Amino acid sequence: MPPSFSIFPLGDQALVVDFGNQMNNDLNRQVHQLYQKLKSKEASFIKDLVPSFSALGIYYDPEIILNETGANETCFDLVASWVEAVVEEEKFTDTFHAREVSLPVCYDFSTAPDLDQILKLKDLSHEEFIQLHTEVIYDVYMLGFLPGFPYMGKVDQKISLPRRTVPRKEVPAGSVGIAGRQTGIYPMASPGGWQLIGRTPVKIFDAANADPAFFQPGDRVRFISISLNEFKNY
Amino acid sequence: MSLKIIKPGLFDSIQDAGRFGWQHLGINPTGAMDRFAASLANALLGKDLHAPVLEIHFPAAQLLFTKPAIISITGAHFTPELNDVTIPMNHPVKVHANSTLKFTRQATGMRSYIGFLPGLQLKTWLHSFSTNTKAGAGGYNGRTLDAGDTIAFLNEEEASNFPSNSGQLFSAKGYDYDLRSLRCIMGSEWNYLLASSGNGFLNNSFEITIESDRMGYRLAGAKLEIENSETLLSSPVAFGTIQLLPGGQMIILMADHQTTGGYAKIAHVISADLPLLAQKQPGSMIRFVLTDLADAEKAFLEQQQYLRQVRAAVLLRS
Repeated sequence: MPPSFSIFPLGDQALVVDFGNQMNNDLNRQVHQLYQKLKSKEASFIKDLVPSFSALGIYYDPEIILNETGANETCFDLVASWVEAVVEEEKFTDTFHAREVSLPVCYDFSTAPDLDQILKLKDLSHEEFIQLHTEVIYDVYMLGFLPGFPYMGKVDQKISLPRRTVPRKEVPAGSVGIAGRQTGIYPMASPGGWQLIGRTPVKIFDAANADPAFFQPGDRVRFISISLNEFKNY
Repeated sequence: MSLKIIKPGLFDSIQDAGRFGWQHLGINPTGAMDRFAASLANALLGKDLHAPVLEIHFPAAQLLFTKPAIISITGAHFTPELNDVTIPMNHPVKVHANSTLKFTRQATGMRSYIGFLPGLQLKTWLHSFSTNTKAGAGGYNGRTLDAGDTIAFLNEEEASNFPSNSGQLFSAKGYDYDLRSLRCIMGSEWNYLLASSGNGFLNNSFEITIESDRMGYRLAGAKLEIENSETLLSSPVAFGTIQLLPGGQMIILMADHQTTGGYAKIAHVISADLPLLAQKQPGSMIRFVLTDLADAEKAFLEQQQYLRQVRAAVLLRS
């Protein structure tokens, strides 16, 4: 079934296709499907396609649109019609081409400054916590906040946690955090308010790499628990 | 060596029209704050409008040219002096080898742009020259410039093709930075504003606070309220997006904004007026007025056409 959405201008060189303000894995997959379909068109006037939880941002070049069409309509109307036409002609099915990636995470207390407190609060053993965090395959809903930062879910209700009331001034690169039903990873050292429950030795963002971000929007992610020794010698 | 930083200024960075095509990875576009001035600096040298330029603030950098070049300075007027002689804004200027460029007084504006002919020898990162300090990439080693940094010029022949008589050089009137209301279009949450707050947005002046930088301008003034208290999920934002923060004050997202945001988007400053905003100093008062998309697009396209005309005129004379 074609998804239902509304389209809003995002300034005068971008628009947002809004699927409804809901945190929902199915809705998010619709965003990624539309993202992939529009991307495959390789339209010259598109500067950026940006999926988020329940919306897709489309950034366009008004000069290219004007040169190609010379139309009297606004660029916004032309791009909005283009999106609607793509939705009409394409099938939105359950098949969604998501990459599957796995990532080693060390849950040792020395890499997880909030974990000790969380275990007491949630009355869980260290092993139970690791099992709860690693047994779910997470969807990358979107990337944002920092270059390469993945917002993933859904985290099991039993280990869902609010953000820290006072954010840390510096969270080390690779730190794995939880905020609500989401889990994320800091690609670089940064201030941050997520509860830190582990750390990955993998570089999540590397500007020197042609593909600088480890994650892509829509990825399906599995965490693999590693020991402190494996973390240090990775 | 061709260009050397003798003394760094406040946040001197290499910028272009922004790095697009990577926001889906959370890579913010960055780019010049005043895109018009950046493009004009290039147009005056007959260069591609989106070529890299140096964005400077005041107190400004002091630069040494060890090789000859032609430069153009646009945007904020920081009273540029070449070997202690005042040089004009919005006009190509010939620079001899071993000349020093400095800026003595902040006459108007917030950011000045320097275009270079021959161009600067820099590498692109993800197809753009803009400096992304968060990613530590792009521009000059992914950072702002420091004392002792040197950047070589590209092929020197370009500069020698330029007219030798500086009277023949083309000058432009530049952007009209005179005080006026910033034109906005409604954001997706404009309708969430209480009627009194919609009026409050349009009928009050707001101060650009000291908590303002390349990421965003925090405003202070009349408190605005929204009737819908629903929590918004993070969604895409843009340069010029005006978000209403929980306390009732606004933030306008600027060139270094994050790719997504979770606050109510009440309006967007139109692209054609972003240069005016980019040149406002903290403490300045601003007002907003609503316009529609057709006008916003027209104003932007007219500016681009003007820039292309300047470039074409320069190329015709050189």
